[in-house]
Amino acid sequence: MTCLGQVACKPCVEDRAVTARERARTARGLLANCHFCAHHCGVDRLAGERGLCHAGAESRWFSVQVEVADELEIIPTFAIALGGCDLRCDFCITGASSWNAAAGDRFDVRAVAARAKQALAAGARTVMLMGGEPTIHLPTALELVAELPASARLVWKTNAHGSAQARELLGGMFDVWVADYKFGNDACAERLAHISDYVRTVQENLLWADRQGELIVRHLLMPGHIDCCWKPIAAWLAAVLPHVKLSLRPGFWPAWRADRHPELCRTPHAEDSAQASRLAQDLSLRLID
Amino acid sequence: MPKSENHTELLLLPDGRILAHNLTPAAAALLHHLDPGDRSMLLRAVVKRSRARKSRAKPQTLRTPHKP
Repeated sequence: MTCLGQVACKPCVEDRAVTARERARTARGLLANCHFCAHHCGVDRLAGERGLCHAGAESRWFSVQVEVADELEIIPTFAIALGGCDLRCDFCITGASSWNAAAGDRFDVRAVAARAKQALAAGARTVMLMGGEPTIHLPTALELVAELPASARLVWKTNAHGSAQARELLGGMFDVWVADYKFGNDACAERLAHISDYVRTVQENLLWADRQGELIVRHLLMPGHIDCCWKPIAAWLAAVLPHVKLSLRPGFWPAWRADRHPELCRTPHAEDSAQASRLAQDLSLRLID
Repeated sequence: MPKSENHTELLLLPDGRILAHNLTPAAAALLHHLDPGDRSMLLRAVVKRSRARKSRAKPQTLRTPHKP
């Protein structure tokens, strides 16, 4: 892995646009030996090789619009969804685009930045980069940051499966991290998302993001996964990150290939959501809407 | 497929619940009218309106909402 040296944390990044532009150039070079996510494929994306995410050197988008479904403190948000992801969650609600890095339109950084500025002027509170997974598109993401005004409040919506290298490049670039903590144990992560060493990787990313600034941990309540996934996540948050904001998402629906897993063929019962919220309250977690 | 217009997906459940994905301000307003008692949707419809009022108070920054 290429060493980037010490990267300043947010309070030291005085000119975000300049820093983002410099890091974008670095990141684009690093595509020749890609280690942006915790898979550490090491492929040369500039030469056409593809890792587990199947993404190339070019980024594509499949949705760009103002949305209000996210946490109240960040909406309305100008949400930019980049195609491709390093996870393979069978229940992914955007599976067709997230599993296919070639889906969508070519990402024109300046055009999207212009639309983002227009949305901010019209009342959007934040600009949110998401996917798929934006980490696999770090060069493009940083190029976009370089085009946005310093006053723009930027949100990084991630699966928290990035590498140390990605974290170094992202340090100080985003005001809010909205990070998924999907699975409470490695067995469920392996079975539902075909990923190993999940818990350690996510926790490492969350601990780093918490030191960066504002962190919102998001957990999608999956039917049949309260005991095995939500409870251990809640216990870890209570013990290690009790101060972070927690967004419990009750809106699971059986999308994409969820029917491969019998317990995921339904939406959560109201009692599941109530039980999950009660646990969060019992542990004094900071639930937000 | 890239979406050429603002886009929200809805899942209508047999028990009457509606789940939304990629919720736009317009869809939030519509769903709020369908069920004014839904707190989550109320908050999202209200935040849209309050932001719009803030924009109107600053005419120099007023823009026509963009349609991708």
